[in-house]
Parts: sequence; structure tokens; C-alpha cells
Amino acid sequence: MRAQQQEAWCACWSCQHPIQKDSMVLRCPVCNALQPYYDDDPFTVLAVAPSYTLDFKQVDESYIRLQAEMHPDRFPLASAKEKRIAAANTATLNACYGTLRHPLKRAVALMAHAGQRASTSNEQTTIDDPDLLMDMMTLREQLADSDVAEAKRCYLEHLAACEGAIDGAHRQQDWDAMDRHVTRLRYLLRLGEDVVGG
Amino acid sequence: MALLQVHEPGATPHPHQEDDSDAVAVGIDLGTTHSLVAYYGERGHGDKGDVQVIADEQGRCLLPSALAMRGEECVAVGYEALACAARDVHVVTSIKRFMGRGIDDVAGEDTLYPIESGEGGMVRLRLGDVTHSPVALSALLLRALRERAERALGFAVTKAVITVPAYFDDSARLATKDAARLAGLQVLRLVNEPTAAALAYGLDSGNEGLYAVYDFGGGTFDMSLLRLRKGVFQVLATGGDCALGGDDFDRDVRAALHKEGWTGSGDKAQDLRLVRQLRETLSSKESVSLDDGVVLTREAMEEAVMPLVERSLQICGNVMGDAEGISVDDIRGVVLAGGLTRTPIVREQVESFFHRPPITGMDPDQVVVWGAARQARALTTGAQTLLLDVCPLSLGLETMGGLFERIIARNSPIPSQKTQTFTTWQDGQVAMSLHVLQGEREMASDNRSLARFVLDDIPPMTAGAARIDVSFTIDADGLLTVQAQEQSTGHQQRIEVKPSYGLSEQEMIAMLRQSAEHGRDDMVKRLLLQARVEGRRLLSAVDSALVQAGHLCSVSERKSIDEAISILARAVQRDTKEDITRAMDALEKATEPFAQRRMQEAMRSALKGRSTQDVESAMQDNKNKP
Repeated sequence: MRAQQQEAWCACWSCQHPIQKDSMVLRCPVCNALQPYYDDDPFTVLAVAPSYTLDFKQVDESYIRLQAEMHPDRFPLASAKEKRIAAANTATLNACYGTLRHPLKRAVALMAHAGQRASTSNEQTTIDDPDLLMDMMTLREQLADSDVAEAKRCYLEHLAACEGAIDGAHRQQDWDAMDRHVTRLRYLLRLGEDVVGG
Repeated sequence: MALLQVHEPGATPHPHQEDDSDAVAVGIDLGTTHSLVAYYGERGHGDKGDVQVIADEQGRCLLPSALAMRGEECVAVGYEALACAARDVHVVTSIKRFMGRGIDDVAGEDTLYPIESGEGGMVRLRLGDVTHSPVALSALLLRALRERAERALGFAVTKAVITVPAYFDDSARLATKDAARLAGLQVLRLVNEPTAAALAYGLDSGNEGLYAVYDFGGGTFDMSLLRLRKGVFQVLATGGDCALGGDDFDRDVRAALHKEGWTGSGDKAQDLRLVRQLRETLSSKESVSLDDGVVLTREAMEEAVMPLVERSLQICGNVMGDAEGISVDDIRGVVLAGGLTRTPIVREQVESFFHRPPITGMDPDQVVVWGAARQARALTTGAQTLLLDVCPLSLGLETMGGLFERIIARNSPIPSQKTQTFTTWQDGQVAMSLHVLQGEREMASDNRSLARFVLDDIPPMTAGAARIDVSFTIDADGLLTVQAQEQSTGHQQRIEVKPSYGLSEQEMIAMLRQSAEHGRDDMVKRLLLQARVEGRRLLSAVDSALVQAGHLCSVSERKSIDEAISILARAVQRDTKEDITRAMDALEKATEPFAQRRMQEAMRSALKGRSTQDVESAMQDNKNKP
């Protein structure tokens, strides 16, 4: 996404004034018309530095500030077109907010932000990696044998370790390692749903 | 109106002259048992405006959601309808429960009227010889509320914010919007009832943090969890039951009474109304005795309704579970809405569930309409508050094997848009049928069917080669639009999800045509109302001008002005718009020289001791004023 940004400029839909194609520019400097998002990268939209560990308070503040700017309710007297843009932008903003708050989606978006494609982003249902498969089966058995509290503690421990590994790989820009950990996270989360109930 | 232009800046005698029908929207709570209408009014100068719930001529704010129907005709609404005893008149209540519902949804329910299947399996209520659609009946209630507002405000009301239960599905929301359309109202926004209740409270207290709204009404139960900060009301999760409310309380209490040996009158509707009175009395009394010696104690009543209260708390528990990582003790306050929350047992149970006494500062019957009126104002004149709501139920498609595939999960913030890609499963497949559903169950058939449509003209390809993007868009009213597009051809099909249950498009068109015919009478009435208001306004403007600067008139001039005044004063009492307009023209003409003289006088006093430049810029300022 990021790598193939060719046209950096476009015309304001309302007054044709040239505007930089950048999600940070929300309104036309001349006519103040709301501009559509040209980017659905959640880190760009919510204006937070790309990192796996996020300051969620800052994400929340950014989200609320942008909602206050773009929510359709803020455009009661606007033209139908501007209302449509407000609704579409708010939908994008809501999706981005959801992505950042979700551990797996955030990791996949982080790779996409760097122009990397996570192999787990498509809807695959089987595990190709024999080591990962073995690993998951062992953990599943282990959790099934322990009592609920212990299973939950053990699961959360694995989850934290996996998220830590994703963060570490991202900091070192080691995309292969990050991709492996992201796939692992995907199966861990599913295991969590099955065994500990989310 | 030359006279009106002469006044000091900031001292406009009528601060919202231009407001009127274009800028004023009302808030409407269309309830199962009661409905209300309110608007946000300014109270003169300097005073902070606030919500005014509009009462009828007898000063009653509540309009019982009841209609008295004689054949096709509605002969009475509200209290008058409930009091109707004519043999050929059918009194219909609790219409909201049937909004957007299909015949299969209400199967096995204990309803007061025979239910029949209309076109496409839509519910119709049989009242004597005729059947009615719930949408058309709701429109009659909305029309009564609109007329009440027009009488109070003195001008035509065309815009409204209408509240709906948070748990209303897409069909019920659309049915509500259709009803408004039939009643001549443009819906600025459908607002969820618990969110409206939070808005009514939140602004007063200026509190920040997590709040729960427990909204138990005549027919529906809703619970929403919200985060409040700096005027932003962010709904985190919501849940409810659209068939859990006072009506169910009444049914169970009636059953308990029958067990005690009460026989009742034999008229189901009348019995239930009596039961409701008894139930409400028991909120303040320990026991009541019926005519035939049967005694109902509060304890027995509470025992009868306890399972229903428990069901509501179970829903609260589920909502808490949906809002991950939030426990009961994180909640800073519980807001109560809906008449049922007056019941002591409900309050006690809520208190013990949430570990704190609920907030009860406002009349639970009026909280929702307050919020609606505030949002109506925010959407017309702007406000610093912002409502961020969620969709209550998951939306998705039926996939192979009759499974339900979620596209937008419940409690997703709205507006929302999500696209999913599907493919063909047979070689050479040229069409794909899409079945849009709403609900939480795994099997498609267990969920609510919203619409079916077919995307055809897919170019024949091998199975799995076609890429069909299906996008779901939910707008700020919580209404769904589905679009499907085959990528290689760009062939697009777009449907506004028309519910299978509600009003069919033909019915809607026929009814709109009908209401356009009635509409002519309505329009005449509205124009008259408007003319009257304008006439009165002119009278008071001339009046105050004469008080201020009467000395500028010659005696003969004064005489002709006074004459024109009395003609207009008489015209506004009468019923013809033309008379009023003519009298207004005459009065304006009579006051013209006087107005000019006043203008010169004002200029002269403004000129004293000032340079021409000052005056020109002052005039410029005046011109720029709206």
C-alpha cells in the first residue's frame, strides 16, 4: 500500500483546489470541504507511530478527536456528497480503530504498513508448518488437562510471549520472524476461544 | 417587513424568527405504551434553553400509544382512544411490538388481536372487518404527535429524531422510518433509546467514565454500556430483547391472579389494562383488592414478574461480557429509563446487580424523549455532543451448507463498512444468490432473514475463478445497504435492504399517494398556522415600534395604522390564510412611511459625533448579519 503511492496530489472534489493525497489532510484549505480518506492504513488514519505496543490512551484520544471532526452528525447541513464522505470516512476510522485494538489484526496491519504481506492474512484454515502444528497440539492437550484457572494463566502466558516476540521482530524489522510469530498468534487466539472461551 | 429591521444589534425582539419549520426538529419517543414529543426551546434572552416536553391541551405529556379505529378510519388517539367504548370501534395498543415483524416471528405469541399474514408474510392486525399494517398504525401515532407539536410551536414540523430500542433489528428500524415518512416527517436520525437516555443525563452531570443504561419499557428491554468523555457518548456494547417489557409483566401478573381465582371480565384487553393499573399501584402500596374479593399483594406480584427481571439481568451480564475487560465495579453509574423501572423490585435487583443504587434524577418516562430532543437540536443547529453508537446484531450472508457467515459483528461501531470476497462453486456459474441475514446463531435459518437478491451476468468461468465482492454498509441510523460486484466485469448490483417484513414497496407507494390526498388538507392547515404566527409576529413588532417611536407618526397616519392593526388582529383569529396575508400587506403598507422615518431617525442618532467611515462600516456590519 505505502510503497505504491504514486499520485501524491489530487483535486478537491468541491472546489478543484489541489490537495496533497494524505490522510492527514482532512479538509480543503480553500473551501473547507471534508476530503475522503485516500489511505486505510490504521497507523496513518489514527496518526500513531507504527509499533506493536501502542499507547491505547493516545489511540482513544485520536479516535475521539477524529470522530468529532468527521462523524455524519457533524454535517447536518452539508451537501449529500459531503455527508457521504463523512459516513465513509467514519466507517474507515471505525475499521482502523478496531484493527489497532485487535492483537492479530494490528500485527497484520503493521506488516502491511511496511509493505510486507503476512501469510496469515488470507483465510487459511490449516497449519502447514509441522513444528507449529506439533506445538499447538501439545499446548491444547496441556490446557485441556489443567483446571480452568490454570489453563487460563498458562494460555495468557503463551499469548504474552507470542506478542512479545512479534514486537521484538518488528523492532528489528525481521519480517520472516514476524510473519512466523503472527501465524502463531492466529492459532493461539483460536485455541484461546476454544479452550478458555476467549 | 421594514419595521423589523430597526433594532439594536443583539436586541432582536424575536430571537429565532428564521428558525421555524426549517431549523426546528422535534424529538419523538415512539413507545409501546406511551409516546412523547419534545423540542429544544430557547427561553427568552440570556436564559439557557432546554428541552420542553410538549403537553396536550389538558397538560398531559404522555400520549398513550393507543388508536381507536372504526374500519379504515382512526376516530381517536391516546387517552381518548383508550376511553372509546363504541361497539364498532376497535382500540389498538402495543403496536410497536409488531414493527418489522413477520407472521412467523409472532407465531405462538399471546396477542390481543388476531394476526394475519399480509403480502410476503408481513404481520397485519385484524380489527373487525379490516386489517392494518403496524407501520400505517404507527404513522397515525406519529401524525398525532406531529400535530401536537405544531399546535404548540405554531408552525409546520417536518423533521424529527425518533428513538428506537437499541436491539431493534434492521426491519424494525426501517419500519419505523417508513411510518415517519407516512406521517410527513423526515427522520434526521434514528437514535437508540438507551443512548438518548444517556444523553439526557450525561449533559446535566458532566460526568466522565463508564455508565450503564437500563431501559425497561412497555414492550422492550435494552441495556447499553457507554463511555462518557467531554460530551462524547461512546457506546461500547448493547443488548436487549424486543419482546420483554411491561406487556409481559401484565401477562404474568394476570396469570397469577387467575391462579388466585380471579375470573376477570372476559375482555382480554380490558383485563390487561386493569392488571397494569394494579401493578403500578403496587409500586407504592403493599396490596390491592379486586372487586371479587381477590387480593394481590406486592410480594405475589413480584414473584410473578421475577423471572422477567432475571432475564433482563442476564442480558446485562451478556453485555458486560461483550465489552471485554469491563467488570461491574468499573461502572460509575446506572441510568434508569422506561416506566417499568419505577417498580421497586426492578430497582432493588438493578442495585444488587450493579453494586450501587441507580441514578433516578429524571422521570423515567421522559428521559428518552429528552435525549431525542437534544439530538434533534444537535442535528439542526449543531452542538458539542457526539453520539457514537454500535449495531446491536451481527449482519452477514448465508453460505454453502446453510451456515451464517458474519460480515459485520455485533457491537461494531457505526457507520461501518466491510467487504468480503466470495466466489462461484460451479463451472460456468453465471448467477449468485445472496441471502442477507441478521442474528447471532450459527445456522442461517435460525437468524432473521433481511433480504435475498441475485447477482447475475457473471461471466462464465471455472469454479472458484470469479471474485465477487459483497460489501455491507451500515449508516448512522443503523440501516444496512448491501452491494455486490463481480470484479472482472465490474457488474454491480446494489440493494437497500428492504425487509421481508414491514411494508411492501407497492403498499408504501399507495399509502403515500393516499396521504398526499389527505396531505392537501394538512397543507392548508399548516399554511394557516404559519400565516397566523407571522401575523402575530408582525402585530407585536408594530406594537413595540409604536411604543418606542410613536411620536414619529402623524395623527392621520396613526389612525390608518391602528385600523390596519385591528383588521389583522381579527384576521389571525379567523381561518383563512388569504385574509391574514392581505391584512399583513395592508399593515406593512400603512407603516411604510413610519418605518422610513424611524430608519432615518436611527441613522441620525447613529451619525451623531461619528465620521462617515464609521457609519458606513456600521451599516456594512448590519448588512452582514444573517
